[in-house]
This record gives sequence, structure tokens and C-alpha cells, in this order.
Amino acid sequence: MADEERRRRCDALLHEHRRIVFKVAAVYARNAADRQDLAQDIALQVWRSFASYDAGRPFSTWLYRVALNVGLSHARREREKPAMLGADLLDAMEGGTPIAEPDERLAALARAIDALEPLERALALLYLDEVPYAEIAGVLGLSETNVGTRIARLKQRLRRQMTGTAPDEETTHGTR
Amino acid sequence: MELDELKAGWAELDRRVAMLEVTGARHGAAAAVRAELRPLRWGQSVQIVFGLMLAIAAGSFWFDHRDAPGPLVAGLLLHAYGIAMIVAAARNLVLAANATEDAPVLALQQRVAVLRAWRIREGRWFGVVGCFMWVPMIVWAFGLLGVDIVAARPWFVGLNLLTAVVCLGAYLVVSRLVRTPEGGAVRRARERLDEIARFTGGGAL
Repeated sequence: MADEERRRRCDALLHEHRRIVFKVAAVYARNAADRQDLAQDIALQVWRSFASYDAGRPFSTWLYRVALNVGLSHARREREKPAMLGADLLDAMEGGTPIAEPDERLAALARAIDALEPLERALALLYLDEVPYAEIAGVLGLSETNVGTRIARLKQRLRRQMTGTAPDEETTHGTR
Repeated sequence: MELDELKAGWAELDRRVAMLEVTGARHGAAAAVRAELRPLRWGQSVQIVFGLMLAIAAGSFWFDHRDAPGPLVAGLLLHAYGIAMIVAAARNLVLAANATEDAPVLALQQRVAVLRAWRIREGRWFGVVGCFMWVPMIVWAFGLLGVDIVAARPWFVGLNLLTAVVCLGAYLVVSRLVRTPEGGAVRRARERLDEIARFTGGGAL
């Protein structure tokens, strides 16, 4: 009975925070089919590890850890640098039903994140999700100060990528 | 602002994923590809059992042949090899036990990378030592039949040792000439550790 209760609670929390699962899958998977498999892998790992979740702490922090670790393992298995998102980014739901036209904003996002290393992608995801620094520190295992430094560097790098500015140029003209 | 464009893209992604539902493990493949460390745990457990059996058998062998230098040395070498098998496997199991998926991301990634690098180095070490270990095994096998082959046929043991040296040489030459998947794995493990070091700015986690 306790197991059943726990399973129901896990399902409910996973449903409530499902966007984290899909966004991590989008960042680390190579294409639509891979994304679906990765999302399922993350869900499986959440169900398997749920017994170790401390209900006194935020579920989102725990879920980010599990999902990012599974995503990074997935990227490692793929060996090659995973081609993130792509032009088809969630343009089709499961089964291929179109839900939206290709979006230039998503394409720009895909290009920017595709240029990042896997660990930087994790930080970018947390930054773009507007997760508080304290929570990012808990997810990644860094100090809050260190998180601030890494995010400042990440933002510089993303700006450079978006503008095509060389690092030297940016240093000369300062950051926006 | 460029970052605003990214945030707008992220908001669009967020809107789209909100329409999706987490589905269960409908594909067996999804379950099959995960749990990367599970085979390692099984393999290491088996290695501990074999190491224990070897250490006990070889220990008993050299103890019974303390007066015969050849079997004594062979027994001691096999005994040490058995203990090395146990220690290496136990270390791997400890590293793997700490690698739980809900650990902080950097800590887990580092543990996994260290574990992989260690596993590869350990595999090579056992490979090199393994080129020679069958010689004491031959001495042991003859010893179990009551024959001290080192004393009775020293040239036979010498010939086997020479063959072992040739095997080692061939192994080293081939591993230098051929880019083995193992070599790629070492490189990837190093790259991963480098990436973690770059990400943390070389500081402690």
C-alpha cells in the first residue's frame, strides 16, 4: 500500500514538473525519436530513484539532478556531440501531429545551445529556466558564488555566439 | 538584446513541452539502454569471487610448498594476483556505489569519469600482467600433480617465460600501432574530466 501511495505521489510530482523532463530531453537528444526515448529514460530513473527523494526538499531540485545526470549519460553514450534540438524542435508531437510552424526563435536557441559543451548546456538550461542561484548550486554541486561566476561567463559566451563576436572584440568593447 | 531572443525561444519551448505528457516505459529499449553501471557491478562481483578463490587456492599452495622455491614463488605471485583482483573490483564497486543518479551533477559526472579512467587503466594493467600469469599457473598445475616443474624442467619454464615476453612485446606493439576502442575510451574519459575542470574553473567542486 505504501508503495502504491509512493508511486502515485511520484506520478503526480512528475506530471507537475514534466516540463523539466522534456526540456532536458530537448537539450541532450539528437532528434525527435531520441528525445522521446530520453524523456522516457528520465522518467524511468525518476521512478527508480524516487525512494531516495527527501520530501522535505524541493522536488524540482531533485528532478533537475536526476534528469541532467541521465541527459549527460545519454550524451556520453552517444559519444559524438549531440545535435541539439534541430529545426524540428518539438514541431511535432508524439505521433507526428504538427503543433506549430517551425519557429525562428527555437532555431536560434538550438544553434546557441548546440555550440555549448554538455555541462554548459546544463547550466544554460537552469539559467534560461530562471532557477534561483541557490537551487542551481544544489543541482550542480557548486557554491552560489561559483554559480554566479559561471553564469556571467555563460551569458558572455551566448552573447558572443548570437552576435558572432570574437572573444577579443568583446573584451575591447565591453559586454552589453 | 540577444539573450532576450534566447529567452523568447526558451519560453516557446516551455510552452510546447507543457502540451506533452510523460509516458511510461512502453519501449523495452528505453530500459535496456539505461543503467550503464549495472553490468559493471555484476562483473566486479564476479571478479571478487574469482579473486577470492584464486587467493585462497594459491595461498594454500605456496604454504604447502614453502620448501620448494619454484612453486613457492609461483604460489605467491598467484596469491598477489588474486588479492589485486579483489582490491581492484572492490574499489570499482565503492566508486560505482557512490554514483547515484540523484547526486549533484558535477560530483556524479566526475565520479563516473574517474571510474571509467580507472577501469581502463586497470584493464591494461591486468592485460600486461596476464601475459605472464599463465607461467605460474603452469607451475601451480604441475605442483598440484606433485611435480616441481621448475626443478624438474627449468628449460620448460624458461621457454614459457620467453613466450610470455614475446606476447607482451606483441601486445605493446599492437597497442601502439592500432588505435583500439579502449584507447578512445581513455581519451573520452580524459576529455570528460577536462571538461569538468574547465567548467569549474579548475577549482574544487
